[in-house]
Amino acid sequence: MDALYFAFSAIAVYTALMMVTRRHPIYAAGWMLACLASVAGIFVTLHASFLGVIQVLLYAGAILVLFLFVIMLLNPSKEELEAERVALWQPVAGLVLGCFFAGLLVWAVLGDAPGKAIPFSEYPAPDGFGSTTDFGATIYDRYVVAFELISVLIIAAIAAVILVGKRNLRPARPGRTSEPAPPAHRETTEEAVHA
Amino acid sequence: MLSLPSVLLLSAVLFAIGAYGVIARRNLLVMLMSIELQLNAVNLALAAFSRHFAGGGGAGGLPPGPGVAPGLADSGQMFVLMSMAVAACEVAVGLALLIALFRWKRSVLTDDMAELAG
Repeated sequence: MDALYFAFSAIAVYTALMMVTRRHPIYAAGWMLACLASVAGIFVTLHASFLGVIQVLLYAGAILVLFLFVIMLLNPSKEELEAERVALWQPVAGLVLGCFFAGLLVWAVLGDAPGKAIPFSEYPAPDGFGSTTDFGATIYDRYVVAFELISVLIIAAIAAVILVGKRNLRPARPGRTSEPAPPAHRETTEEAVHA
Repeated sequence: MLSLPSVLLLSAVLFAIGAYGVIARRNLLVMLMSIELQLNAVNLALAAFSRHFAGGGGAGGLPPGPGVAPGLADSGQMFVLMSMAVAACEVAVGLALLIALFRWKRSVLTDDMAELAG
């Protein structure tokens, strides 16, 4: 289990680095797939096999395909991607901020008890921990309301996506007649209510 | 050896890489992917804590303690499930906004989104 974990974590870090440095989003999406798959493997080594399956289904399945669809729909041209002229201060600021975060978290993790890390193998998880049976029982026993509220969240997200997808974001500029201003439905209905 | 600090360190490194991606890139698609990476790093930390407390790990210096009540052992994984659902919604809305912006600006680079700057 340990060798598996370290192999997966090395892959995850390497693919994450490749992901943030690729210029074309298609390649970034490919590296992201590898990174998400290795994180799913780490979930399995942490006795969260159900979460590992969900990670593959949801991230590698749904989210990544959504990214690929959008990239293919937008189809950014080569010169457009070449236009991503990053100013020098940006990678420097990113490095500084990334090192700051990493250092802060490492300090928070290791500052308490350096060298006192007790391996997980010395206090094994109870039988069935993280299995689909146990986790399903936990979801539907204790967290039913939260679980059902996820569906409300998803409905809200779908409604927002449909609204944003249909609406024209371009503001109607005065003096240009190519785009007529949207009819003022709301005012008329409010007037009708007041009348 | 596989222990709580090692997983937390991996989570910290992945989070920092994601933060670097958000700051250093100007392509909105790659920035969204980096945000996903950061969410994944946090999920990893939550799963590690869940495993830690399920085995009876203590809160401070990690000595095995009395453990959590039965039935609460995999509560931490519920956090991860919720955060994954939120991440999926976030990506859907973010990509829809991205498409709407692209129809307007014909670009996915943040340099071209300068409406508020005037």
